[in-house]
Amino acid sequence: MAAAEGSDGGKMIVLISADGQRFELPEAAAKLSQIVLYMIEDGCCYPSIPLPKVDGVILAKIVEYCNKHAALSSGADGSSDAASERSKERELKIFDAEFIDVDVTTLFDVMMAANYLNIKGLLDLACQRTADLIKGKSPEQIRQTFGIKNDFTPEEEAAIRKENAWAFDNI
Amino acid sequence: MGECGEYRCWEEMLPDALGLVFRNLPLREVLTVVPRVCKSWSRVVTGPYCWQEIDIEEWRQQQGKPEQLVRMVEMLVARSCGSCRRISVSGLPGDPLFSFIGDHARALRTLEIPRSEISDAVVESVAPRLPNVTFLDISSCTKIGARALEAFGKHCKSLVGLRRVMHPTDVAGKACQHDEARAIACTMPRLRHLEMGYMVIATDAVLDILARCRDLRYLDLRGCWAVDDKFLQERHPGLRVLGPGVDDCFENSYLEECSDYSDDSSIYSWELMDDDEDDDDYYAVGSDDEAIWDDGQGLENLEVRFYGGGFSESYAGFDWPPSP
Repeated sequence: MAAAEGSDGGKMIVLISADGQRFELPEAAAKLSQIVLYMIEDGCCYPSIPLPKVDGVILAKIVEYCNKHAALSSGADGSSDAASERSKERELKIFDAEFIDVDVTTLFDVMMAANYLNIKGLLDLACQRTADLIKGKSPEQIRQTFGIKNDFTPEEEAAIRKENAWAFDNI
Repeated sequence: MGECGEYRCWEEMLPDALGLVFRNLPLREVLTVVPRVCKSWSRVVTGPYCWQEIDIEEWRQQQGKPEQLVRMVEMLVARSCGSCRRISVSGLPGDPLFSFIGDHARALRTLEIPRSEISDAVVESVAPRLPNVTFLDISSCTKIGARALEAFGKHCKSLVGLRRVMHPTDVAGKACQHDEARAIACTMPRLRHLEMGYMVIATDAVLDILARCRDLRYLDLRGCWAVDDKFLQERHPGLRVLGPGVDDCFENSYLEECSDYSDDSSIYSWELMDDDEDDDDYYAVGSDDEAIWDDGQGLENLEVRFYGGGFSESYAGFDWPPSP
């Protein structure tokens, strides 16, 4: 199966999640992961690539991301005029925004998986989304958002508050 | 995947991933809010993970006292533990701070310090310690001249981008800057992107640069009134030349497509020409630099300049500074 050809004649790669689920995707999509790319280059991708650190639910999402981005990446369909490039860019932007609009648990897992699989675009997307969830909030609101326990004493927190106040006395 | 039901321990997210997250936040939040969330996040902020790129231009514009600038740059560069790849802040107030950067930021690849009060002498001593710099912005650093450019050229062997844009008032008393042009021509053979707006130079000086910098693809000569650009275009058809007139309609259609950004009047970008995948390094978020062009001519076309159009998805979420 792993060496099978996809509908467009391209090679297909099979990824196996931690819980044993199989995901078949075109090589061009799989290669968005640097780790998978190296394995393909080293010929270690047949019959399948086990990814013991990523469970099936998250790997399904990762595969969805890679498929979309590979399909819409520049030149994927042979067209290269500026207008179609821009419409693809817009489509990807919309896709990304919907893709990453997830709860913080999923966000955490996507970020870990993107880091582990070394998918730069996805890692950046997850980091930006996390930053957006932090932005403009107080420390307590941030803790609530992410389920973080406050391990500071009030004195420690006050000390940190004072520490860098000098830099923002105009703001 | 740190499976524990529906709960994930954000305290234990990988520090380098958290560093990437915090980089997307305004400096004030990184320094005053994030460290109070929990001890592990506080450690990330005091460690090197957030500070591989130190872009504090927006903060400097709001805050601006020289002693605070010195303290901030020293603190952040020290935190980066030598891993800093980009420093972007205008108006370094003197030689000691630049010397400090030379001592502690040897991995630096992008150095953007327009309007800094640095001298030729300090550049000559610091440049040998910055061998990896590929992009350099020393616009309107009025105390340096050909000696400093030569030192940068000699020691930053991979330099591919140089911005040496002057404000008309910077050069009011100068007879010419041909010595600077000569230093560029003789010591920076790998330049691909060169901006020398308002430098006092003539056509010959530019031809000299073109003869020696064979990779040059982009040349910004706006305000270099003595240069005959038609002559240049004829001799170097593959080169993109901007100026010397300052009323160009530069890639207007492209700008319209980028209307998401066009309300930010402060965005500059290096042409994204490096093959390195990690191209985040090569944009530059500008500053009050637009004052340079604020001479009443064609300002509406010049406020936003996108070069090369390499804005990939990774830029989409960048925290662009608000318009002044």
